[in-house]
Amino acid sequence: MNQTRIYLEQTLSRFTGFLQENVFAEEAAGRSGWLQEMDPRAKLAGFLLIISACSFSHSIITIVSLLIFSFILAAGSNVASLSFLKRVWIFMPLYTSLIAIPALFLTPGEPAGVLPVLNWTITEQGLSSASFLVMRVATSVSFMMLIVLTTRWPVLLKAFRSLGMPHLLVFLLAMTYRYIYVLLQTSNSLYLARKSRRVGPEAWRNSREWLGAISGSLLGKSYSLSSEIYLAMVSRGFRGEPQLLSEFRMKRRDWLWMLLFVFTSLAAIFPRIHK
Amino acid sequence: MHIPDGYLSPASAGTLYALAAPFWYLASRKTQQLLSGKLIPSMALLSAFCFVIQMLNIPLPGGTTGHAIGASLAAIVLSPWPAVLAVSMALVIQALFFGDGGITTIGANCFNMAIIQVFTTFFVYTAISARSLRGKVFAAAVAGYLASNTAALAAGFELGLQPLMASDTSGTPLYSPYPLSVAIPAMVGGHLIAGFAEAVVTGAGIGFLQRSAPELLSGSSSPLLPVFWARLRLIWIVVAGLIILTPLGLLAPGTAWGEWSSEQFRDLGLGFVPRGMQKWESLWSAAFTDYSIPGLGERTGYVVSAFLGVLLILIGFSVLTLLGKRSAKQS
Repeated sequence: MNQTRIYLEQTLSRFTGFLQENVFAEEAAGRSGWLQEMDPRAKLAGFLLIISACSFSHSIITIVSLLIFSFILAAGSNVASLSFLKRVWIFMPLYTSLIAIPALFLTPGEPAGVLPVLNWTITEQGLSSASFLVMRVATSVSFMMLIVLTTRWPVLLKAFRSLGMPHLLVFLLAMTYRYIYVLLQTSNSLYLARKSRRVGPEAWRNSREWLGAISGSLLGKSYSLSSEIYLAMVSRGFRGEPQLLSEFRMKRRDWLWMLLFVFTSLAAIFPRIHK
Repeated sequence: MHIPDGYLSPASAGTLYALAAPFWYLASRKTQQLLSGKLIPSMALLSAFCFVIQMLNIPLPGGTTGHAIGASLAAIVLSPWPAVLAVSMALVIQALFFGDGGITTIGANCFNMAIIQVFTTFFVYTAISARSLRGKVFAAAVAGYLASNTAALAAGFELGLQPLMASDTSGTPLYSPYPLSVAIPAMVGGHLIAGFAEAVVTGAGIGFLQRSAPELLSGSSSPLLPVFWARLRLIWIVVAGLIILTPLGLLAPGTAWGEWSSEQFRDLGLGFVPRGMQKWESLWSAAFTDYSIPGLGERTGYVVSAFLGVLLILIGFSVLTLLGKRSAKQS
């Protein structure tokens, strides 16, 4: 396959993958389950606590227990399907494992074994260091994916707002998120147009120029679109102060969940505080 | 270059949040001044642009493909402060909504890509940009390439410090396991090729805008600031050259005159060591004693130390200038 085809098709499939993932997330957020029914503030605050606790913990058993906890939550929320596992267990950890493999041999320490053919020594320190990295990444990604998969983004944004994120920032995040799709659609059309008009291989210089034109015109479009949106906002009564509705109610069940998350995080960092 | 959760210890992740925070604050203040009411829609669209540009695959020399960050193009067209905000926002959305890059590492990722990359691009571009179209395209491409490599160097440095900062008693690194001597070459080596993606997007992007929408670029050469750059350009280039040449200093034998340590006093034949010196010598030991950074070779350590030193001085002076300006305004 020549290079032109690779970059065009890779980008197009990236766009499709992105949209697909999003449709899947929307669908998963609509299912009924533990996390979907939980107050988003409890979920967000609780999970952020757990992710930080995972970062603070110096015990591999604790980190693995947190990972198992995330799997139980995923199962209870009906999202422990193949695509959740694929994302949590295949993409990120596999990538991290690839990064972690050299650490097995490079970290100085007590020898734990020898790689058969190459005769490289694996050290104990390398082994535990690599498992720390992979497990920590898997656990954090797992909790993050659970938030993303079980919360619709407008709700997630509202939760950020009620947890004290500045108004302006929340509004900006919301608008950015919305316009990512608009720009994505534009780029998708540009790429499809290019793909359908191209015959045979193309020189690197040409693709380079075309990509520059794409980047430049996307930037120009964003700029002019932002002026139009501003005018549209002003003509609809926008005075520079964004308004967001937030009407969450913590139920007793949500408080219990919150308690569980706080307890889990404290238990995870307890050995370090105790020391 | 998006560092996920789990690679950085809480201490370094926290430090990088703290380093990024003043830039975010200043960026939001300056951008608000520049855009006033238009701030929200402009920043939203430009952040969305930075997000989407990272999804475009760029063919690279050697048959592979990579993607650009878009921070360099944004830095040149928007001027640095709004670019800091736009790129940061795109990185935050990637971390919060798509699980790309960690939550605890948002500070680190923004520091590398939204601050270091943006300002390096801006400084390099303003230093070498010419009037002609070709000169501008060339300057933009070079700025994009260098800036993405500088950001990778910063990421490598942050990752490489982890084994030193967080290892348990048996010597097991608890976070990213590679020392500086592995992390820096790995990150920088990868970006020597991947940096071309940034060069293509920035150079060709500026070329396109220059031909089709020059009005967008007209603001970019204006008061974007720092006088200390515009007027003293030559001096900074000389300083950069000197930093690169610092290892030459290692070739010179002996210790700089007047910088003897107490043992050297004895060796010099003085016969005694001044008592005050003995008393105070151990009071302060620098973070990087003798300009050597553990895990880096002597020469690389020297260059990195020089770079860090100049950076610290610059930051110090900028803070002083800002404070001075503020008190002048108040009075």
